[in-house]
Amino acid sequence: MADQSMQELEHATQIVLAPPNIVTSEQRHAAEAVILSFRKTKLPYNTCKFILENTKSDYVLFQTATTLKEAIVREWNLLSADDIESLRSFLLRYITKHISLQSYVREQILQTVAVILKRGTLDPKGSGCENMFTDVTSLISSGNVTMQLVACSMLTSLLNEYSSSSRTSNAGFTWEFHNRCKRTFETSNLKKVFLFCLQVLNEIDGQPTPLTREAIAVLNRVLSITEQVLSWEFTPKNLMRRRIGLFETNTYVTLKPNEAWRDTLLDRNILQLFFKIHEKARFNSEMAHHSIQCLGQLASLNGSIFVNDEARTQYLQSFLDGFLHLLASIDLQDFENLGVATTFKNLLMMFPLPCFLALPDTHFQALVDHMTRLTCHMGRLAAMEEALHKDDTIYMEGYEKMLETWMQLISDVKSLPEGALKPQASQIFNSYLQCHISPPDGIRSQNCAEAGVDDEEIDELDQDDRDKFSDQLCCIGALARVIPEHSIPLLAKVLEERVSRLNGQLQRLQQQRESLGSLEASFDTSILNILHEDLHWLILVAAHVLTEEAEGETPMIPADIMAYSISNSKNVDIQTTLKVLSSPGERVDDIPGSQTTDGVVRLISAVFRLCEVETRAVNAQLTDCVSPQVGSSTMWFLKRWVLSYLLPDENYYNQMSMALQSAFGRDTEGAQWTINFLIQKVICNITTWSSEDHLLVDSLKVLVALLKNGSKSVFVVKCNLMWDLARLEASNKPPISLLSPSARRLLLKALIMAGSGFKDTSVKEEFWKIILQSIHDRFYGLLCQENFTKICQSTEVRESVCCLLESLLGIAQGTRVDNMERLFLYLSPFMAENVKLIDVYHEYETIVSLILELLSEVVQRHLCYLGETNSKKLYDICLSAIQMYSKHNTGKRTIDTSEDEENKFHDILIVMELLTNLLSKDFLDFGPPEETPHTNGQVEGADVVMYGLNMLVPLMSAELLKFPSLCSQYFKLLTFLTDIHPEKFTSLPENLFKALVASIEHGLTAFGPDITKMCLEIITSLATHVFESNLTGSVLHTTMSHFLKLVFHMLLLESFDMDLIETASTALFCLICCHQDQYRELVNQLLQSQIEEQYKQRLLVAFNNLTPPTLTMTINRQSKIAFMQNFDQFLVNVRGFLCIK
Amino acid sequence: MGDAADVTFEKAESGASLTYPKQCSALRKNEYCLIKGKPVKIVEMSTSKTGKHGHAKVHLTGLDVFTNKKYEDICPSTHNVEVPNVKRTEYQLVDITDENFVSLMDDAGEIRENLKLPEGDLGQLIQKSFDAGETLVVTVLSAMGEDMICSHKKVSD
Repeated sequence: MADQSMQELEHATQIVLAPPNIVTSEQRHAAEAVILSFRKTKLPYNTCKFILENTKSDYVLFQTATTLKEAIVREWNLLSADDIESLRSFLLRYITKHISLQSYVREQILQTVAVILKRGTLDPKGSGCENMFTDVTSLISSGNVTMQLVACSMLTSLLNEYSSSSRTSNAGFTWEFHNRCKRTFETSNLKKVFLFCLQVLNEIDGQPTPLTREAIAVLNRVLSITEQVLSWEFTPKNLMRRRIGLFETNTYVTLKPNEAWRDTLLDRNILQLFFKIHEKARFNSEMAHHSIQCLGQLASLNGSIFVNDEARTQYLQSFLDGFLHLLASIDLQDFENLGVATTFKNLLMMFPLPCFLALPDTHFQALVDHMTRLTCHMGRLAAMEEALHKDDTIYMEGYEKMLETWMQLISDVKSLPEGALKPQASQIFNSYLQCHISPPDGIRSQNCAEAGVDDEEIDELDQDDRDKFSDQLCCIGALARVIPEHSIPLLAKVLEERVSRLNGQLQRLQQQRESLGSLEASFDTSILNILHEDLHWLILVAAHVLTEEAEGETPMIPADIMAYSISNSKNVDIQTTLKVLSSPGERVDDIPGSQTTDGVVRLISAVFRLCEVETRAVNAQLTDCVSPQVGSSTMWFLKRWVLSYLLPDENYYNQMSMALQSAFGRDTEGAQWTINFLIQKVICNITTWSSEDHLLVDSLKVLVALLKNGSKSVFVVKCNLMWDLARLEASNKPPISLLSPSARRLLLKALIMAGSGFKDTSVKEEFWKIILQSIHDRFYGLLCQENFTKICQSTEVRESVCCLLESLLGIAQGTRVDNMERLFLYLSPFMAENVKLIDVYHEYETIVSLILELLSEVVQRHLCYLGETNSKKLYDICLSAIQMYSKHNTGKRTIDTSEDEENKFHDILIVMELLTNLLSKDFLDFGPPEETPHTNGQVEGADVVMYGLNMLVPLMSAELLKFPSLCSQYFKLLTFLTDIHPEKFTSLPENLFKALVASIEHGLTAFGPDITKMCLEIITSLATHVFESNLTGSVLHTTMSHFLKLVFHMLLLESFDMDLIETASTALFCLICCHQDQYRELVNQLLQSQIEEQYKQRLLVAFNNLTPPTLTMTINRQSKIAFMQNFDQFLVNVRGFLCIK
Repeated sequence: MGDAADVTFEKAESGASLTYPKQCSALRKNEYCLIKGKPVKIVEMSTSKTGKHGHAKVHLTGLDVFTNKKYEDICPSTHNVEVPNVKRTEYQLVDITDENFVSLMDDAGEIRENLKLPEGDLGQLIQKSFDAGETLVVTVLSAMGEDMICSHKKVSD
């Protein structure tokens, strides 16, 4: 019988593992069925034993072990304690007898043993782990390496099974069971495993170096187990609500054991042992990895193991004794860097600064000295790694970790003695700068230039350094602000020097060309390229030193920089400072008394000098020798700088530096000069660089930055160049006509915003007129030609149309409260005209998209300020635009996912944005009330949206929803619409309604938590409407019954993101209110499905508490909140046994 | 008012020039340009630079509007590229001769007879519909002094 099963299995295995050309897929399926049915065999124990002893096939062995594992869990109640124990010892003996097993077979058998032990954890039938430990101990002391390794594998499987994480096998236990086993193992066995590891480590520590091969094999495995123990996520005393029902592994776990570990982990000999072991292990990269991970985890020790701060300090001291000794006695190998950096970071994260300060002085000093040394070391190697374009970035990762550690430390710098960390910050800053500039003062590798790597093709999609390295640049900037008195003058000096070298180099080239009489004369660009690279990096660093990232906040001059400028004021002469600023064409050293220039202004003026050199080079027809990259970086610097330094609002600062105030303050000549200089530069770039889009966009962003703030733009428009720029735009000749779409939008946006800066209404109007009239004339000049219908399809006309639409979009984007009325008046005739253009150009997706985008932009920026008449006008335009769009698109789209991706559906995305924006007036309405409200025949926003939705929903197939942007916009639209106008959903055409419901159902689970949340909100809105308007019996009411079932199962039985609890409980409550009978039915079904009486009882009680008689089943705020609290408690009580792995 | 624009369009209408120059960086996908003297529709366009501090170059891939053959080119983005004046005109199909010449009538009732039926499927389709007595409108694509029928549609009268 057993023999026959074995033969069947072996035969099936041959088929399953055969190459596809030998067996048919039917044969393969049949063979798979044989194996699967064997796995379900009742009481397969003797058969399995027979097969294990007799078969030669590894795959059959594997399947047999799996069968055993599943059977024992399934038939646990049928087996006696002796049966179980004999099986366990059989399997273990089997492993030790068959030492040549394939490792996957051995792991599977050991996993079976571990599952047997785990199943028995809470059961008197289980033997507990005692016998197991006896076996492991005897295996270890056998002196046989193979046996010792088997013992290690056994421990690893145990740890995996008991950790209740993603590593745990699927045995069909409830989460609660997993968790109780984990807790039991944690209290009674985990420490045993650890002590066992320590014992082996101690033994190995006693062996002479170099270790034998056998010892190395064992050490490696034991270190891996130790690492797993030290990375164990200890169960907190109070269960974390959000962890209930989850089996995921936390990626960052700190070592947070309970008091029971005090005697071991706080023993300084143990720490010493780990440091000694690392010295033995570090010559093998795999072992070194495990042992340094152990050290890193030990560095994160925290929690109740420490009685008080004194204990904490004491541990820290022991740790540092070992760690500093280790660092002093070895040179790190490449694979050790990241681990060491992590150890530093964990120490600084987990131990409060006072603990460090309570140490003997020498410790803290030695710690920061090592940190400094290693930071610079890793930084240098990271730069090298980068220059060689290595795939491995071990140094870069280590370096970034070290910088993060410094950020942690300097955030507390105020609690350190005055001047602390300054020498360290200087060293790190200097080293970073050196790594990025060329010799002799820098050490940037020139190898790449020699190897020709520098001539490599760079794709437009490659990330710019400013984004790629923004994290480390931020850290370097922060460190530099600890030592502004060092970093700022240094940067200014190096930058000035490089700028004058660039100037010299360019002059030589010009002379060379003149003497050769040819512009095309070729020359060696390597010197120029080196200078460009230096300048590029100096600008990036300077930007991060002078300015901070200010997301969502008003950009300010950083306090450290302000304080530095103030503290230096006694050595500063304001007149000289202004002279240095305003003469970018002169060398600073040629200006008398230049050493009395304010340091900050001097650094900024060095950037201005660079701009000047570029401009002069362009004028001397040396454009081909100027780097667009450096130009871009410079413009990016200026944008950041303008936002925080130019025309600062003094009210934001406690104290203002005189130098900065005189150079850049409001109503100063310095600021006016600077504005003029910047606008001049922007115009120069527009004129010169029409072919370099990045540079143009960065330049125009400077212009927008200048004009963004209303109170600042008053000063900016005093510059007459703004008029020149406006006229240049109006002329629409090259270079303006060559602007890329994004650049054109920015330019128009800036010009429109500039108009708001003029106080005098007639001047304001005059300025706007230049721009607005020109576009108006061009637009109608084009469309009103007699032969427009004939020529409209020609390339040139289409281009002109695109260009005009881009301009109009720029104008719409320049909308502010103060110019809104004027612009709406201006834009609405265009939009009406555009509806016809959708018809004319329906074949050209680009034009249609632009038209819809313009509408969407205007709706978004204007609608909430419009009065009733104008709102109606806008709604009408939108409706006719959507009608026109749908005329050409309904049913037309064929889905071909092989082609083009998301861009192809850009127009659909924009239509959805437009519809969403149309709903905004129902949220936010600042429009003036009108005397005689029109109530008849009014087009409402919602009607337009419903019309649009009718057209869109059939287009939104499951395929399209796979595109994240389309998906999120679609559900956002539905969320808004159901929130404001749920009544619109009662009278939809059947097909439309079905498609909508199907998409919501799909969205509940298919696209991640954000979409799930929106779908739950949609359901809440609809259910609330059904309940409140008493729509019992309607289609919508019936649909809610379907959703009740879905949501009920999702929340109770499936793995579900606990962050959504609030939204989810509200949705469930509203659904229950709609269908109370069906809810009771669902509850009953769930109760019936529970086999264990104990669980059934608990579930019953929990359900009773969820909807106690005191809870009124009506949808209002109080009930929702009450239900949410009950539901939270409910999940804590029952999810533990409803969620199964 | 709008002078500049008008002038250009007249030029395009009159067909005086076959091409006009355009800065390479201003080209866009789905537009036309000349590659190796052939009028092509741009199907791929990307920019790159040689070295970090180099100037932008444009990589163009286009399909010949008449033969559908693929052409590629790389040029500095400051350079001018010739852009063909591509025109599409609709004519009513009046007759097909034995030598496969077609007789076409424009909006103004003028007849032209210098075009042949295109080879391949399109030509056969037109022939078939014409033989079935359907009223057909064909679109003629013109560029670089060459004309070709590129599509047709039935007119329901």
